[in-house]
Parts: sequence; C-alpha cells; structure tokens
Amino acid sequence: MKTKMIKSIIYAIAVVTCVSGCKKFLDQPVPGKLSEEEFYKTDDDANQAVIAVYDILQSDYWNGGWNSMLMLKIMPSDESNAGGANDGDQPGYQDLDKYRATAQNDKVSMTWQKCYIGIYRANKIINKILPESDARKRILAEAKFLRAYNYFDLVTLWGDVPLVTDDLDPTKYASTGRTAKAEVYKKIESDLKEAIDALPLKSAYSAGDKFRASKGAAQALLGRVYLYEKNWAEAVKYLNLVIDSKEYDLEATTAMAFTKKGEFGKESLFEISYSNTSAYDYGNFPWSGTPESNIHVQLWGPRADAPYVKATADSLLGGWGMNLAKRKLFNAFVAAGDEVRRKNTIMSIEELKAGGGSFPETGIYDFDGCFQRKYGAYASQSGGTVAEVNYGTNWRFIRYADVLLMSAEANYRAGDEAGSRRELNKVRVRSKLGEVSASGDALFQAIVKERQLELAFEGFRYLDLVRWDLAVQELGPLGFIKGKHELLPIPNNEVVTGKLPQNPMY
Amino acid sequence: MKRSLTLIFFVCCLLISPLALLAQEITVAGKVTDKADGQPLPGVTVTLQGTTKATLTDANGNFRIAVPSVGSKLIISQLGMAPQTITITNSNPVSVVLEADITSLGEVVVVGYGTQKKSLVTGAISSVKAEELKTVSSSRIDQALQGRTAGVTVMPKSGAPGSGLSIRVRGTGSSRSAEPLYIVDGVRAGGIEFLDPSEVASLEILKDAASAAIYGAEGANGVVIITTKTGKINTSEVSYSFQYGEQSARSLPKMMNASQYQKYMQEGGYSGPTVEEANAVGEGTNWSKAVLQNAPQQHHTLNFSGATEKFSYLLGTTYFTQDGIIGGDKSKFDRYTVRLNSDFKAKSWLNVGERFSYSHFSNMGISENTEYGSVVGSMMSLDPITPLTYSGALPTHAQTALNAGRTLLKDANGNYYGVSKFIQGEYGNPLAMIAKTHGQTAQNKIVGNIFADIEPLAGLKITTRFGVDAAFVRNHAWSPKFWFSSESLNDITTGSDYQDNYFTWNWENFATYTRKFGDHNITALAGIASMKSMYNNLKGSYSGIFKEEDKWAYPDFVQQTDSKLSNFWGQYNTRTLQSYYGRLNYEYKDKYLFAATLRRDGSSLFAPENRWGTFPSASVGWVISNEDFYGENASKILNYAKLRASWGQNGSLSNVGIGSWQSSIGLNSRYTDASGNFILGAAPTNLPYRDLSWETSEQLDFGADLNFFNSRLNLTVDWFKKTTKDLITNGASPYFAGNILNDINSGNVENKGWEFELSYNNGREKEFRYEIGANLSTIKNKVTKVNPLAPVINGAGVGTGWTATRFEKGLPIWYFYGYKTAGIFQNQAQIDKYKTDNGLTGYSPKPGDPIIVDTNNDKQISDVDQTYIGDPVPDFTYGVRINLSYKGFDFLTFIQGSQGNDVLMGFVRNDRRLANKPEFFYNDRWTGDGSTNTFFGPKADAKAFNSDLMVFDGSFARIRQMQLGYTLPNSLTNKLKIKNARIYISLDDFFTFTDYPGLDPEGGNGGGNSLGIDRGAYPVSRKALAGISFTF
Repeated sequence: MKTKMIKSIIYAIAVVTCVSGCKKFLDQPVPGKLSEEEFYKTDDDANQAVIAVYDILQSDYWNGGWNSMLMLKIMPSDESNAGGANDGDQPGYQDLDKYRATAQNDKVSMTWQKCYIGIYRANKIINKILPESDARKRILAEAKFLRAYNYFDLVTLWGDVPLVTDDLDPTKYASTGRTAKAEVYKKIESDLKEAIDALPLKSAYSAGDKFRASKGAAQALLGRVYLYEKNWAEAVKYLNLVIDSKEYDLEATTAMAFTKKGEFGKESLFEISYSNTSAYDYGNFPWSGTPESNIHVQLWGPRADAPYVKATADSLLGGWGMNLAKRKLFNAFVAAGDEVRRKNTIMSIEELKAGGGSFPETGIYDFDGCFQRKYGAYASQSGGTVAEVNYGTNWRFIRYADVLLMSAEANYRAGDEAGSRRELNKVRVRSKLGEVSASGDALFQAIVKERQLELAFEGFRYLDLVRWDLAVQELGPLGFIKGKHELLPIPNNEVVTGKLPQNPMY
Repeated sequence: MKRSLTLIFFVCCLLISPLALLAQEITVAGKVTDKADGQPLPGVTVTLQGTTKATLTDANGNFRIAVPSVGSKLIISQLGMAPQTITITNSNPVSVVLEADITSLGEVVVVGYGTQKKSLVTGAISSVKAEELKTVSSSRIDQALQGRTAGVTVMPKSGAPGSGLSIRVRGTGSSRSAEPLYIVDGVRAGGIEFLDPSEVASLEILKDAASAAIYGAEGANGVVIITTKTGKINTSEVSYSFQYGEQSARSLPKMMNASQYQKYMQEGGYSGPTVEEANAVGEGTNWSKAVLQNAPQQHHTLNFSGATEKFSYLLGTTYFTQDGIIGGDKSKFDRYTVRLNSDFKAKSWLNVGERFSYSHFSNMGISENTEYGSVVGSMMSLDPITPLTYSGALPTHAQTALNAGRTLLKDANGNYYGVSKFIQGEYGNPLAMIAKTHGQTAQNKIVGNIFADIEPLAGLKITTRFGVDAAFVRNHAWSPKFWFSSESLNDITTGSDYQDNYFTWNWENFATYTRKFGDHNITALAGIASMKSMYNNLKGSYSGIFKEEDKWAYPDFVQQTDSKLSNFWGQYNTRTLQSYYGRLNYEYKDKYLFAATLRRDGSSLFAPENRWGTFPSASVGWVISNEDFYGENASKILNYAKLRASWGQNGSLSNVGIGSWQSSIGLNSRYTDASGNFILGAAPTNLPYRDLSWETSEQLDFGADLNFFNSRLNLTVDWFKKTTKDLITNGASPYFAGNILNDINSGNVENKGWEFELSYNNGREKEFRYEIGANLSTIKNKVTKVNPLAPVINGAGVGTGWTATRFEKGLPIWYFYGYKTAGIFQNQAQIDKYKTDNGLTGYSPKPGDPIIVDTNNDKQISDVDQTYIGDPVPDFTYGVRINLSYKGFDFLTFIQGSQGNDVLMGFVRNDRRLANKPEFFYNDRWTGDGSTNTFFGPKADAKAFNSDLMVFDGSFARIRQMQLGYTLPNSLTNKLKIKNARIYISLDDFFTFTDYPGLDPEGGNGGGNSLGIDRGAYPVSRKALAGISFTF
C-alpha cells in the first residue's frame, strides 16, 4: 500500500514538474515570418520593398480577380464595349461600361484598394528606409514617384481621397476622411519634385533596370499632373524638360511602340512589365493567385468560341472577347484618313472577312463590328506552349507620343500655338498624316482628335473627355450623367469601415 | 495556480485511507446464465457488496468468491443486464439468472475523461452502442451516424467513394469550419475516417456545452467520443463478416435532348446546332447514361478477441473496396485497417494497455462539384449533338483542331472522343476526361495510445495516457496532352506529386476520485494535458513527361530543357496546446444531481498576452421518479423522469491560422525587369491583430428524459440555445489603411432548437418483437452580431461574378444572396407599366425575362437589389428506424430526411449559355405572352441566373437502409461449432423522395460558405448489398 502511494506521488510530481517546466511549450516558431522591425535596413531590403510597389501595379489579375486599372479607365469611354459572353460575364466591367457601377462594384473596389496597397508599401519605404547609400536614395525617389503615381490615379478617378502617408492606427479609420483634391495634388507635386531631383536618367539605368522610375518619367508625370490641374505654364515646363532631355523619341510607327521590341524602347517612359516565360498552362495557371503574365490581353482577344477564325496573314489569336472595340472609334479613324495607325489599333469584321477570317455577324453579345488590336492577342507577345495564358505584353503607361500631345495641349492653352503645332505634328507625321496648320479652337479640336486616335485603348479617353468637359457630348448617348459619372463611386467598404462620404448621386 | 491545485488535490486524496478488516471467510461458488437462451454468461462481475472485492465468471459462467460470513451480499452485474443482489445463506453453490436490462437506465455512457450512468447524466449526450452499429453496412463510422440521433447532422460532402462527411452538432456555429472535436479512446484524433464501424464499441456525442466544456478550447462545435472494442473477459472469439454490394445511380438526370437543345438555343439566339444537325442524331447523346455505371463494393472484417482476468486483447482487420458509379475504377477507394487493443493487469493496482490502429487508404478521384468543367459538371453540360466517339471521319471543327497540332484523345478502340462544336469553356467530353484522369492519393495513418491506470487507494484512479495521431498522405497525378476547346486544353504532359505529413502527440494525466458519504456521492476529476501538432509537406510539379504512360509519369524520368517547367514547394509548422481541467460531480440519493467543470487552455496560436482562456460549465439534474413522494401508481406509467439544465462555455481553435495575428514581411512579390528576368519583392503581408482570440460558444440546455411503461416508451426532449461569439472572420479595415487584416474576432451566430428522441419497443420476451425509434431536430440559425466595420461578409462565388452567399446580421449564416423575382414579363406593355409603376430608370428587360424586384427602392435595378433568396439550413431534420424480428428473422428500415433546406443550382452558369441544361429549363420555359409566369425564356438576361429562380426546395427523405436478416438457429450453429451466424440482404440509400430537379438533393454540401450550392456534385449511389457474419 505504502509503496504504490509513494510511486504514485513520485509520478504525480514528475508529471507536474515536467509540464510546468516546459514554459516555452507555447512559444512555437512560425516558419517564414519576418517581422517588419527586422526589415527595411539594407540596400537589398530596400530594393525588395520597392519591387513590391511595382508589383502591385502589375497585379491586374489579383488574387484571382479581374481588376485592371487600364480596363477600368477604358470601360466608361466611347472606345469599346465590355463584351464577353453576356451581360453576366464579369458584371463589374459590364456595369462600368454601361454606367451602372455602384459602390459594390468589385473592379472599382479592387483598383482603389491596389492603389492604396501601393501607397502603403511606398510609405513604409519612405518612412523607414534611411538614405544611407546611393541605392537607397534612388529607391526612396522611386517610392515617391510610385506614391505620386497611385495618388494621381486616385484623385483623377475618385476626386477627394484619404491622404495617407504613414501607417494608420485602427483608431483613425473612421476619422481619416477624404482630403480635398488640391491638397492631394500638392502632395503629388512635392513627391514628384523630390523624385525628379534624385532619380537618374533612363539612359543611366542598366538594361535590366529600365523598368524603374526615371527622371524623365517623373517629369512627364508631373507635366500630366499640372495639365489636369490646368496649370499650363508648369505643365509646359516639365513636359519640355522631357522633350529637351533627348532621352526619348518616337518609334517609326505607333505599332512599333507596342511590339515586344518596343518594350522599354525609346518611346517608353514608364511601363508595367509582364512575363511570357512562366510556362503557364491551364493546369498550373494561378487561377486564384496573381499570375506574372498579362491575362487581360487574352481577355481582350476576339472571342475564340464565337467562333473567331483569324485572317490568313494575321497573327491576332482568339481570346475571351471582352473590351470589344466600338464602331465609333473605327469611323473616327476612317474620317481622319488615318490608315496606318488604324490597322494596328482596330479592325472591323469586314476587314477580318476580307482577309480570309470569320466571325459571326450576329448573336455575339456587345459586338459592334470591331476588334481592338493595339494590345492585341498576338502570338508574338506570348510564350510557352499555351499561348492563351502566357501573354507578356507590357502596359505602356507613359509614352513619348503622349508627352508630345500633352505638350501640344499645354502649349496651346498657354498661348503658344506654334509650339503646340510643332509637338502635335511630330506625332502626326510619324503616322503619315498631314501637318496641322490650324489655330484657335480648330487646333484644340485637332489635339482632341489626335489623342483619341493615337492613344486609343491606353486609358486616357474617358479622363480626357471629363477634363475637357466633352464627356456629356461624347458619352451622354452611352449613359454618362453629368454630375455623377465624372467620378467613380467610393467603394462601399470605405464608406462602411472608413466612414467616407460617397460621391454625388451614387 | 491550476497546477498547484492539482498537486494539493493529489496529496489530499492520499491522506484518506480505507480500512479493511477480514474475518471468518467462506467461499461461495456459483454459475450465471442468461435468461434469454439459458447459455452461461462469461465475464459477469460478482462483487462483494460494500467492498472493492470482486471476481468474474469464467467461460462457462462459473465463479468462486470468498465472503466474510453468512449474510454477506453479492452483486452480480454485467453491462446491458439488470444487476442482481443475492444474500449468502450457506456455502452451497448459487445459481443466478440474469435478464437483459431493457430499461436502459443502467446503461453507462462515456463522458469526457470517464464514464457515467445514463440515469445520472445531467448533460445532453447522445449515445450509440456497438449493438446498434451491427447492422450498419457503410464503411465509415461517421456515415453510420447519419440520422441516428437528434441534433447531429451528418452530410456527405460528395457521393464519391471515400469522400468525407461533414458533421454538425446543433447547427453551424461558425462562419468557417464547424467540425466537432473527435476523441478516440481518450485521445484527440484529426478525424474518424480511419475507423471501420466494426471497430467501435460505443460512440457518444456531447452536444451541450456543459458536457463538452471539459474539452475547453476545442469543444465549441460538440465532441464525438469513440471507444473501440476490447476483448470480453473469459471469452475467446473469432468473428468474421463479409459484404458484397452493387451500386447504381439513383436516377439519370433529365437533360434536354437533341431537338430540345436545338430549339432552346435557337430561341435564345445562340449559335447552337441547326435543325438538320439535331435531326441527324435523333434523341442525341445522353451523357449521364454514358457516364453513370454500376459499380461493385465489398467489405470484410475479421476480429480475434478474448480476455482473462489479467489480460485482454482484440486483434482486428478490415478491408473495404469500392468503385465509383462515375468513373468506375478511376474513382476507386480502397481501405484496410489493422487494430490491436490490449489491456494488462500488471499489478493489483496497475492496469496498462494500448490502443493501436493502423490504416491505409488509397483514393482515385475524378473532378466534381465545381462549375468550372469537372467530369460531373461536363456530364451535365455537354450538348446532346456531340457523339461519345467518332467512328468515321472527323467533323470539320475536330479535324481543324487536329490539323492545328492539338491532341484529341482516343478511346480504347482507337476512336477519337467526341469534341463539342458548341460548348467551349472549361468543359470537355466527360468520358475523355475520365480517361485522362490519372491520380491517386494514398494515406497511411496511425492512431493510438498507451496508458496506465493507477489505483493507489480505493476510489482514486490516476490515468496517464500518451497518444499519437500520425497521417502520411501521398498524392501523385499526371495529365496527358488533350484538347477539348480553346479554354480546356493541355499542350504539354504534366505531373505533380505531394507528400503531407501530420503528426500530433497528446499527453493526458488525470486523477479521478470517487467517494460516497452516506447518501452523498462525490466524484472529482483533475487533470493536465499537453498537445503538439506538427505538419510538414513537400510538393512538386513538372511538365514534359517523355511518354504518356503511368510508368514514365514521375519527376525522375522527366527531361527538361527548361528548368522553369518544374516547381517545388514545402513547409512545416507546429502548434501546441497546454490544458488544465477539473470536474466535480455530486449526487444525492440519485435524486439531485450536480456537475461543474472548469478548463483552462493555453494555445501557441495567439499573441503571448492572449494565449490563455478559461471555460466553465455547470449542470443540474432532478430525478423526480426517485423522490419519496413519487407514487407507485405514477411509476407504473412514468417509471423514470429526469429534468436537466445545463450551461457552459467552450472554445474553438479550428479556424485560427498559425501566425495569423502577426504582421510579417512576405516574400511573395515577383516582377519582371526590363530584360525579362524575374526579380523579387517583399512587403508586409497583413496588418497585425494582437487581440485575436478563440471563438467561444456559450450554450444553455434544458432537457428531460422520460421512460414510460417500464421503459418501453422512452422520450428525451431537449431545448437549446447555442451562441457562438467572437467568430473568426476576415478582418475589416478600410482599403486606404493599405493592407488587409487577416483574421479578427467579430460576429455572433445563434443556433437554437428542439430535439426529440422517441423510442418504443414491445418487450424482449415476445416472439415477434418490434422497436420504433424516431428523432427530430429543429434548428433556427441566425447571425446575431457582426463587425460594424464589416456588416456583410461575402461568401461563395458561383460562376463568374456572382457572390451567392453572405454573412449578415439577422439572417441565417451564409444565406443565398441574389435577385428576387416576381414572375416573368409577358409583353412590352407589362414591362412599360412595371417601369412606370416603380419609377425605374435604366432598366430594359425584354419579355421572357424575370421581373426583378427593386428591393431597395432606389428606382434602379442594380447589383445592390440582390437580397435574401433562400438558405441552406433545414427547418428540421429527422430519422425514423423500425426494427422487426420474428424467430431468426430481423427486418430493419431506416429513413432519414431534411425539411425546408434550399439548394442553389450552381452548375448552370449564366456565362455558358450553350451548355446543356436540365430538361425543365426547356419544358418550363417562357415561350410567349401568357405561356408561363414561373420560369424564364431562353433569351433571359444574366440576372435570371443569379436569382431566386435558381433556388430550389432541397427537402428530401431518403430510405437509408432496408435490411432483411436471418440468424441461423442454435440447433444448426451448435452443430457447426459456431456461436452466431447471420445472413442479410440490404438496400442502402435506395429510395429518395425529393422535388429537387438536380442530380442529388445532398449534392451541395461543399461546407463553409458553399453549403447548399450544387456545383455538380458526385451523386450518392444506391446500393444493393448482401452479407454474412459469424462468430465462433
């Protein structure tokens, strides 16, 4: 009896001491977790941090959702219809196209969110990285450029937006509010000016680094910012700095600027790069992740299962049939006698058939008889064995032709019509069009027309029409309502969690 | 604090020593027999009253025991038999006849860390015994639970061989996983799929919080306790059973035939087949008929068991194999299990033993339950014009693909599989998809424990138990080249492999002390537990397999010019749980019952300052029928009556991710530089949330156990209200904060309902015996609180762009969200009037479209008009069992059903209009003014497919089992030297009554936020089975 009691007591004590001795038992390491305090220190840290800012700009198919900022800007324009299978195919894009977008619109929400993710990542760099090396000084400037870039998208599409420049304490969520446009612009300007001072010229970057923000890109963006702010003199100043730098020039044709060869070429100031080397197939494509290829190019190809049969000598492959070009744009090219540029921007079904291809005349949802081919689903842009999911086409977000046209516009507004015509005609001559000698409003109309044709499907048309006050005239018949559709709705999540006031009429 | 309490408790216990004096012994011998058949009863316990001195009857029912004197009393007892007390008057041999206890009041149920007499239980516990599982013909123990007890819903995740079931105890108490905790032989197990029903001695479900609270942080969704069989004392048995079955499809889903399809597409304006194309194929291809097939299954079990007073053993093995009704051996499931349970009485005060189980599963799976081109989805979507295979020349579209270098698949006879000319997207010829499926998941699993029970003094038992649950999962799959359409193709042979390893150890130490002070009975329990779970995995994929054959489809034999074609992943993680627990049970004269538990858990999953949680419970019971005032006459009608009430709190950890409260730098960005090379980026993955804590479920339960007419009629009624608080949901922060909040605690869900269990039997002495059992549970599920920053959580998407379920205050969890309709527009005048009446702008439907209701009255029809259009939670579920027996024959029928649950038909996608559809789309369609006001026409706009017209009543009643058995008479079995032999035939899941027009009303149980969405799930097969079992 005694011995078993003693044994039991010994056992009980052993258990209790053993268990209580393992104080560290609940401290288990979490693999793959690095705290923020341990990061943002070295040149390598800084570089990885800034790459993550570029990367979010590239994430147009983010976590399995379609949310392209470019598509978002194109949909409310008069360049194309949403297309796709039917009105229920990507309803977020459909609703933007047809001016039905609400605060619940997933594309509106996700593009807004991605802008702020970019800003948050840039803020971390700007606030945590010390300018202790040349590399880090440059990266800080890149971060400022990228922060400004994202804020500019926000302020032009949504108006007053929260101006967040550091980590936001949860207690500030509901009180941050929307900052007046002018103040956001002020921050964009100061960020860009600081960036311009510290960024190298594009030519100073190594071949691989040419994707990074350069002095020219920052100057061009600042010029664009001033143009939107109607600060003509400053716009002229910064755009001319780009032109005078001789860092950039027009490619032989607009189409050339959009070829694989044209990527990061002489006409390119800032582009978002994609890869065609991921060897995706239908099985390994990250359908619920974020691919490195540009899947929107596939989304924009003529609907393969319509069925689309390409013209004999063409290389435009079939896709999923969204972003279907409007006849109005085609007609604008025809009316302008603009053939070279048209053929590489838009194609009509008649042209397709004449070339030996085919596509149903009727029964295709949202089909207006035309296909876009600026960001065409060309075999040459893809890689791997499954072309459909491996397009590496880069988005050209700041292009020299645009710089020239912005300069033409700013010079015109600032009263220098000769200077305006000089820049405008550079673009026209490149496309084998006659030089413009008009002045006054006719000159302005020529600039309007030139931007419509040169920059089609590049996400400028809607914003241009809005700032020129031509939106009602051009977009009214499509459903644009004055006082409402100049801005997108503030995403519902921000209204609920951030108590942001909604934009008018939404 | 808790630790020192435990220590004090141990010491106190040791101070109380029993006194035992013996004198004038006489030895009594006796024999115990069974009243039913007169056979000797081995292993019956013979206890000297008032002492712990006891013995057991041997294989012939004989016993010998020394008693102090004449006048001593012996208690003769065995589980399931009514105990008897005899007084010793002399030293002559005694003869005792025991009778089966039909009152069930003497029944013992397993509770956490112990057992308790059912009549004295104060919580809501459902219990299923081996006896009831004997007739089960399913291979899985969880399946055997279906419909058996009130408050427990068991739903197949799929009808595919080997697929799992989801068990919900008292409703869905979480926005994420709500699986109960499984305790097998006292040790927590990751699941119970490894158990064959033949291995199980008893199964208890702790439904109320008071019963489950002893499992604290993990008991919030109920606890399923399983005890496996052991050898019966003084026996030596071999039992074997064999079962063979043929499975078939319940019915073929009715899809449109060729001419219907042609007409529907033409009316819709889609580029479908021409009349000539349709006429050429007659009825056209019936894909379901071609795909669904009969499939065999078989099941063997073999057990050796026995015991002496010192040693007991059970050695068992089972084998189960099942082909699928879709895919045949391409969806085959195989499982074998081995079990060794033994107990040794090493010392008079020490029992040691082990429970060991090894199981091996292998599973071939075909794709299902996704609207994106699974085999099942394609079977339901492929047009009837496309043939199964081409016998002659290929049609143009197939030849064009072939000419373009695409790979068209061929069947065994060398004929090309039919390729649809009309249906694009992710779909493909389902026969070809089955043929190209190559994959297998194999799992080796070991679950077991070793234990020691120490009894240093009477009434005190200390148990230490070390258990492991280890699972090693290996998957291998490869895909040949194929081409079905531009969106469903593979141009390079690919393969993938993964290995997932799970290992959990669990060490329990607890002491139980039982003591009687006069009429007061006290049982106290205190314990400590530690648990560590580890997971690691490796995964790889590769492309460019040399030959499209199984033997080449491994990475060793892949030659690559481009290393990017192979990928490699892997990680490990660990979590730990430390627990202290205690329970006190108090009974007074078997009338007043009280129990209280307290558990404190610490988990590694939370921030250091938030690791510990405390979970209390209390319950009371009052046995009215034991009161002195309770009259003899009342007893004749209501012989036993107990009222119960309980309250408790539990936690749930199952939805907490490792490290999810932390912020960290994620190396998850990749960007292409200007030379086309990838460079890496890094950014914080999420915002930190240090306050993350458990989901806590609080439950109140009132119940009554009533036995009438000498326990012939038994009724148990429970009412409960379970509130799960601090649900773990995705965090809500404004996007302008720049990052996401992973998981936060926000939101409450309330489940409340009634449970009834009723049974009646006509007594065991009759020649014709019958027993009817029924249970019914009602559930009202409601979200009662949400995070004000995220009043709505979006759930599952269906097709492209439809978020079809939501989590929102005041509505059932993950209710269906879509457009509400009010009939079909018949003509333009009606449309114009509707628009005028409601002041609608920007809404331009056409006749044949559903009338969409402007639910928010904003004068527009837009996505924000979507609203509640149904929910997957049934109003009530029920089960009815009828057992009949006459002489050697027995007949069993078992019906299970669910009423008032909705099913969303998710496999019909709005953006794939050319896909074939169920026939009712054609038959019920709107064809013109006045044709119908209930279903839309072929041209209908997208909203029709995202509306309440796609929600159907999913109520069903299923006859789970109809079984006829015959037990060979003793006269015959005695000659054959076998103890017991039974043969039976059974129809399982054979008859289903439902109005749901899809493949299977239970098809949509993807779980979580996809509950009730039928994306084209593998249907549950019906089975015709025959079997034999015998023991010798």
